Amino acid sequence: MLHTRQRGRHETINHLKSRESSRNRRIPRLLCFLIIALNFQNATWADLIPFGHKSVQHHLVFVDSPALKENRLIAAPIRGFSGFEEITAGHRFSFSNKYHTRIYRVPFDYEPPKGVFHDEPLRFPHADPPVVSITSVPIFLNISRIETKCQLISVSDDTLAIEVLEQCKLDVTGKRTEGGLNLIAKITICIFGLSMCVVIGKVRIAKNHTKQKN
Amino acid sequence: MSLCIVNLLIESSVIAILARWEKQAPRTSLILTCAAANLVTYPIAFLAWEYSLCAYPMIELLVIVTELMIYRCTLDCRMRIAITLAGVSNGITLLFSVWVSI
Repeated sequence: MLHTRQRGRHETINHLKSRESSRNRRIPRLLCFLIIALNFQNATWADLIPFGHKSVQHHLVFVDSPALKENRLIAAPIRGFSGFEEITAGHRFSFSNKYHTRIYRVPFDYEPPKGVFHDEPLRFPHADPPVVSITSVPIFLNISRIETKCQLISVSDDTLAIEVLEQCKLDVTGKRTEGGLNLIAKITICIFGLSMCVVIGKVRIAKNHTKQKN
Repeated sequence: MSLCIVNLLIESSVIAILARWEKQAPRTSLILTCAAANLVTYPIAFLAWEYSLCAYPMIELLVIVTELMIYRCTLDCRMRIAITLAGVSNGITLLFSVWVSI
């Protein structure tokens, strides 16, 4: 009798140990998944258009400012096949997070190399674009391009201070447009979904209770 | 909103097929839970994508984790079933819907 009880206890301990070890194996796997997902850079996924989205062009426009008059700016990606682009007041130019476009302050007599030139980085004061490039919008919105207006505030020895003035969403004709649900509507939908979950759960519990009583 | 409805239709049909595959009739509560889970996750995921809060795969992963928790809590099903429901339905939606433009 004692022998059987001891064997039973051993079996229970072994069962608990195996459950614990399987749980211990699951945690590193989950951590690995999380680390892999966190390591995906936004730039790597810049060309990915999610479900029901369409691609849009995102441009930067510098407005006239005293700092822009005193300095000469060029935009150039650090990878990819695009070349240099001269930045002037009111001139719109495209940029990319994927190809890591940088804005450089160059001397007035500087001659940018022709074609693609990424062998060594330019040794001039530079800054990244002040906004993340938007590559896609929902397909049902009548947005065809996005324009971000910015202003050059100052230039230091190694960097540029750029301020974002406004971001406009424009349709095919170039008119400003706004679309989609606003933040309040999204939060309302989310709360409605949560309350639906609670109601479904409560109904299920109530049904289980009735079944148990019967 | 129309995207949310299309997403919901795809996921609910996948869940209905899964339920039939497991030799169970697609229960109304299952479809309703799928709808509720999508209503919770879709606006949050959309906001995260709109404001570039995190990368797209991370958003998908968080959506799957949230949905499986909702399935687990609401339907009181096993963790394995919840993972299958959330993972397979979202995976198929993703396969249906994502295209790459280079």
